[in-house]
Amino acid sequence: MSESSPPGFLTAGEVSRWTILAARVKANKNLVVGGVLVLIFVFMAIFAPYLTRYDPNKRDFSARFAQPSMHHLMGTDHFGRDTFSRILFGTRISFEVGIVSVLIGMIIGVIIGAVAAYWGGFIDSLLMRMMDGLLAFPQLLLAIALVAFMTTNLGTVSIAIGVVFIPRFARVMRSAVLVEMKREYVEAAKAIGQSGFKILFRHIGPSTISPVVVLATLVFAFAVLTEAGLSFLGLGLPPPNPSWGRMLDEARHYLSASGWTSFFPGVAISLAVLGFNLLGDGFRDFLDPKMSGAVDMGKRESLGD
Amino acid sequence: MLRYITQRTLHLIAVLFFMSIIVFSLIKLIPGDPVGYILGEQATAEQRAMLRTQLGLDRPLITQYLEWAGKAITGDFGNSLLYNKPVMDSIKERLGPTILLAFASLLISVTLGIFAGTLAAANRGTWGDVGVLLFSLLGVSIPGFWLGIMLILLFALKLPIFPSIGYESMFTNFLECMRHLTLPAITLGAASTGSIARFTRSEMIEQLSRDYITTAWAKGLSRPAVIFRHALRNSLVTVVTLVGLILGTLLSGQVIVEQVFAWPGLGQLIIAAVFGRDYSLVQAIVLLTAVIFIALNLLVDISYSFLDPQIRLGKKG
Repeated sequence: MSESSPPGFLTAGEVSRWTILAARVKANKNLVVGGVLVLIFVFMAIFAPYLTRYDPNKRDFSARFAQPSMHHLMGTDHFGRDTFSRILFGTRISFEVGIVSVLIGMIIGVIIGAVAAYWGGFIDSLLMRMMDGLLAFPQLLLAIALVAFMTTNLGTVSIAIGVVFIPRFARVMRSAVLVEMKREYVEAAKAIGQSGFKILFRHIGPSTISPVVVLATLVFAFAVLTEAGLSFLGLGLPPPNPSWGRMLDEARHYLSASGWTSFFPGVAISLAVLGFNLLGDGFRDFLDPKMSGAVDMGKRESLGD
Repeated sequence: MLRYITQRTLHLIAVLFFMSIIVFSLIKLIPGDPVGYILGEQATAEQRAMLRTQLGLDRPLITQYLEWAGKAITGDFGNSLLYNKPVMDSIKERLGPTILLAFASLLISVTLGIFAGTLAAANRGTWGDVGVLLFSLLGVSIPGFWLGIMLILLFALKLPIFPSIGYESMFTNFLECMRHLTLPAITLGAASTGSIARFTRSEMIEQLSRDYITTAWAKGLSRPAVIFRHALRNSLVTVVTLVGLILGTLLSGQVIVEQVFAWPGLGQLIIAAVFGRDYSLVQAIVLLTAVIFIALNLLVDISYSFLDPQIRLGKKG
């Protein structure tokens, strides 16, 4: 991204660059809608305590199953807890698990992909067959199997979801590095005797950022969905954490008493997932229209489940 | 062709090897002493020693793995702690409902998805097209467990058309079976319907821009003939590959949908196994599902290679 100079001191060239940038952002509906949705959730997560006057875990049995009203924007659940507050604080859990799991998958996957592509040969085959092995598990099932054998807390849930992402990042990184390695500048760097690590990090690394960022955004959507799924199955963070998935699981037993309690957490999950999906698609078209094919593979696999 | 199949099979064996190592190592994730963890505090020393031998924890790691894998190949995953009978027996009991649900949702998503995608591509830029795109985007964003709950709320509680939860065998009462199957199958099929529609649409748009389509129009063929007989038929070759990926979606989604609708399949079994700390059962289900998943994908790839002459003649393979 180009560095911003204070307005009024722009050269003609820079003005047009910014104008073009703004026009491209505006024309990219996915980027705008997805970005706005994601920003709303980020805002909710950061300012959760200031946006509501109810404690998300405070029980009020005199107000069980309240309908949505000015007092309780989204009604209350079977313990009389305020649904809106719980959704606000649930955003934090979704994002915490999302960020940690995507980071785990990204860091490990990127390293594996880069090593496989750069060194090639036997190491490449070995690593990529291992990745194929990981990829061959249905995603949610692998996450379930991993949490099953660990005690559940924020860390282990994030690890379980993050492991699922490793092969996806490895594949995208590997193909990005392979493309770059055919370029002349790599040949030149080798010719002047630079070390493999230096070439990989200093020269090839920066050109692989775009596809990795796109994939990270797309799998974030999947992380939110999986966290909610695990909590729904009772395998997520222990209660009374207000996780969206757990809220749904608790509310569905009182469907005939109050449909609202089941309605709103699902809307939150759907909008968050939709936001990250759109943002990822938008990033992809924005960063490089040509690479849509390359990352689409990753996306189809990552969002397939 | 034979070379292609051999190659793919060898690759599959390598993948299977790594998968078995992953599933085997899961047990090492248990914090502390797995035997104490499984049996709980009140277990006697004798019980602990017995389970330790049964799990083979007293032998070196490689021996443990080889023994476990050797038995697993023959379908022997030991005894289920939860149900007190061979793990494979518990799994076999649950296969029927799971396969029924998977096929029903696959049928829904393939027919509906291809139909919607074709219509969208043929009417590109119209409201119908936008509607299909929007639907497919919602399909991948809306979680199955929420969709299922909302369907129960609407079509079982508010309008009592379908039963809210439960399962009925096809062989005892076919009509009841279909009534029980409808909501779960729609819930499970929704996400894949969206991705198949989206994929069919983009594939159809590409086909419709090809020269042979212009020729077909020029010949004076009718609109349905051009769209269905020519463009769709050629698009289907590629859509077939997506079905392999869809199966992964179905196998994962199954766990959640079964939980929502109390459908007595493999998904419910694995959740019961996780809560009952029945680790051999968890390992067996995960490994089997994964094996089924890659075996089906291999079949899809091979059938695809029959359809695509480029692969059949060994140019890509």
